Amino acid sequence: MEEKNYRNYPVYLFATIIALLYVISFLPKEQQIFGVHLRHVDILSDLKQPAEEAQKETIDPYEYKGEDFWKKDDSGNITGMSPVYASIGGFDFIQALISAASNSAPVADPQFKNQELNGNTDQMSYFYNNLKNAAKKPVRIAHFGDSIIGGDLITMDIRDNLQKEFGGQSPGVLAITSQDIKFRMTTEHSFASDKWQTVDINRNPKKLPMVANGSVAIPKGGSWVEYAVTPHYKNLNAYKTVKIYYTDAKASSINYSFDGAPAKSVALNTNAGVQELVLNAPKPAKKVRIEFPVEGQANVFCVSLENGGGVIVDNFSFQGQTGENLTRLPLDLLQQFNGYMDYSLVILQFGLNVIDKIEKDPAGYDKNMVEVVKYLKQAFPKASFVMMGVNDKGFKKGANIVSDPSVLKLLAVQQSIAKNADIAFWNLFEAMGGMNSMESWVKANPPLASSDYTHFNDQGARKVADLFSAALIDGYKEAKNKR
Amino acid sequence: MPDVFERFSELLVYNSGEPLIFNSSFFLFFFFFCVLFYQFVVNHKRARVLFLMTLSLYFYYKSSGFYFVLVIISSIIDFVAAKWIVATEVQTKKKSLLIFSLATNLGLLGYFKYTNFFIDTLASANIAQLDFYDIFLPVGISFFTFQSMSYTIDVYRGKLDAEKSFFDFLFFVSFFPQLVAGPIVRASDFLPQIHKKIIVSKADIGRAVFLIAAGLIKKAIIADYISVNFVDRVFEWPGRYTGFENLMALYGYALQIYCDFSGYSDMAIGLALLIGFKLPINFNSPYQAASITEFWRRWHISLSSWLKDYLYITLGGNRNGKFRQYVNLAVTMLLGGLWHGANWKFVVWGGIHGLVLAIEKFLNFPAWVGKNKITRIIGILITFHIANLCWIFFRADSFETGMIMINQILFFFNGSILWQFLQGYPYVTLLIIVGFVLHFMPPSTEARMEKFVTSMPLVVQAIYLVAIVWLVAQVKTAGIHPFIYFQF
Repeated sequence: MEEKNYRNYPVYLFATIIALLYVISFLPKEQQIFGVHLRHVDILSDLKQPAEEAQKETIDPYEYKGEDFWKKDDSGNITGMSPVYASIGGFDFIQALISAASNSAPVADPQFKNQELNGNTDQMSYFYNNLKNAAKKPVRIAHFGDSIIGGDLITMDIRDNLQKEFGGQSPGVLAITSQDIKFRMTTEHSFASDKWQTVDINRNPKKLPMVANGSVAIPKGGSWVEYAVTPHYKNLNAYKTVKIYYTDAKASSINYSFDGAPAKSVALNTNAGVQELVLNAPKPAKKVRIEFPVEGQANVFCVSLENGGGVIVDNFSFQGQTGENLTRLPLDLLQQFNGYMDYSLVILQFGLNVIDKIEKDPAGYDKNMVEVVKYLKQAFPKASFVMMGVNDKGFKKGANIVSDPSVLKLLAVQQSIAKNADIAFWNLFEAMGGMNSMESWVKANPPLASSDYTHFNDQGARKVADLFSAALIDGYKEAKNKR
Repeated sequence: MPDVFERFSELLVYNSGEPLIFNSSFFLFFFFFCVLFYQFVVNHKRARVLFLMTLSLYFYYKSSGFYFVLVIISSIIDFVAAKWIVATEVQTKKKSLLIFSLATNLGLLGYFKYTNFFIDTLASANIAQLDFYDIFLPVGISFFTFQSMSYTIDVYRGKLDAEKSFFDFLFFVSFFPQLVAGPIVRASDFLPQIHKKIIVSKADIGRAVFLIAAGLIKKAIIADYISVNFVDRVFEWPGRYTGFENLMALYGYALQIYCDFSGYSDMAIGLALLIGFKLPINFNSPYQAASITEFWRRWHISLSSWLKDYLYITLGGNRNGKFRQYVNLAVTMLLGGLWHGANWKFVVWGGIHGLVLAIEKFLNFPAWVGKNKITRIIGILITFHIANLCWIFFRADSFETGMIMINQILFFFNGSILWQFLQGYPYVTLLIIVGFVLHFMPPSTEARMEKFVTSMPLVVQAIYLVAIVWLVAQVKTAGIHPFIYFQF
């Protein structure tokens, strides 16, 4: 007997499959089973019109209104009035499958927008005045941020841009030990990892002293650290002076050597408070090695690598932080540190680590960060302040990447912080291209951001720095022309 | 309602950047349409061929627009060349016809795939500075040119008769299941099937459902999820991660590329079975290989056997002494590497594989691992890690990035973050484990699972596939896994 031929079987099979998928598309939109969030599956959705999102009815004090937030009414008060961004359409199953699997769905090129500083820009005049005299007196900038500036990212290109414009060849402050040494492009940093005990601001039960970089290293004996120039940033090609900041030193000496020359010894100062030890290179050096031979010899904060005056930008990256705990840095030590550094400008770039929580308590974050700015103003009393708004962060809506709605909420909160703390605000989100811009940064050629749709890569960090530096330089030029 | 039609007609035309892939819902309707109307023509050979050929060309049009004419042009040239090769008795004339056919195919492939690569290479070697051309890479060109080349070479070698009907031949070259990503089907395997009566057995159906399901799981669940949520970002920036994470990403990539590629092949084989055509198996659990020699008998089999039969043997194979054999091996592997993409990194990748193949031959390694179970396990572990080492350079954007990755694994391992890793990436870890466990199943288990699927009634098979499609949709729309920094 001839074997049965099943060649019409696929018709019934696929008809059943399509019918079942059709039935599934009528299941409730969102469900939870055993705590797992399940998503809606609709095979026909690509033939339907995108669903209109329900209108919000309640009035939200933190509703993002773009840079129109800063518009002033006739009496000069910030109005915060203007239209709200439109919401994004529904989920498209075909788009979902096609775009995810092809990995090449067309995405528009990034649309950068030059953004000027907003908020209280008058207080920027201290910084602008100092920039004018940068050739005579060093202009120091503190760039505080989270992992977005880890490994000197963004900071290094702001530094590069400002140094090209106003002079300067110094990388600035570095910690003694650090986790980001592998991708730090501006300094080759190495240290004896088993010879240092490092405590940072997150876990500091003994309340060890700290300054602006938020960590302290304690030598275990025979401890060393080395810094060397790299070929990547031609401007930063030598060290003339290396300054060490520390406190609570025992009566003892450290050894140092430039470019592998025989080590020299120098005594630490046992006075209380933040101490500065200046090591001068006999000639501009490519490398410096510092040794702390004695266990528990001092609480060592950081070093500053310098090659003359001009603009110096210090990178203070607080991985995983929201910025709120900067008030844990002891005020007196910060003030003493500033006595050496004399900061002209403080940049604050936080937000990524509060995005997930911002919807719950926006007012709380607003209040805490205003306190932080007030605290830092006490520490750096003359400095100008600018808050950089959070960058766009991708969020999957169906299978499309859109702006995380919490980013908008956070931006509104950050604008409010800048307003309440009376400092300047720079809107990175708008500079990136505004709504849904992160996807275009990730898919740009070459890519500008990482595929976590959150962090920038080297090229993207360069772009962010370029956009921000342009805002500072424009502000400077405008201030100069006014006078 | 007009909007629906408008949207529908938009879907029907070519849209750059949206190739028609099997795991899209448009393809579901496309294939349903195919099997439905196939019933009316299945018993008439000419009608059946014309129907499937038209659908195949449409499928290609959906993926690459009007470049589908390339498939037709390439087919005309090879069809005519083969006819004339058979017609003439003069050996030199046969040879020049073959060379003409090969030159056309390789010329098309070279122009579309490698022009900018050569311009870039000339520029970086400071030989000449030329501008890049804006050249569209037609989907699947590497596959269909190799398919039709196998045809003319086999005809020239007298292993195959020239095909009488042009439409039969065009159907073979353009057959949609394998058109875009293989397997590379030999004319000698496929052409005879065209003339036979179409018979689909119950076992064929079961195998097809099994393969389509397996392919969806591999490609659209495992590969897509672990790449987007973990592997890609480590390869993007290995310096930001510990050696442990780098190693996990590397193992993850080994699984990802296998699942991606073999999953697509599985779906192609399954779909072809449903309309009564048998395509050759393309992957046979490659990481079960105990030597790189064996690896190439299990990895992308249709390509490696193609390279062996048409390149390695043509170069002389092992007939001209040991030294020539090594040279032939190296040339085959270097070109095989280059076939994967227009980039020197693929050449390096092929080169390392070629070198290891030569060393294995020299040491008689495959014989040693065949001694007993223990030597075989040792061989599997060594082979897996050599393959992984090669994947680093296959995947990394630059040689430098690859070296950073190796450096992190060797000198910054930090295995202590294991527990944090498991907590931070539960789904990624689960999918990697499930993927490798399935991969190392013995063939008998796979056969049993296939048999089980075959025994299911139609409705259950449909529910099984729907459940997987539903899972695929869940994975596609899952939120982006947040970036994680581990404290170490």
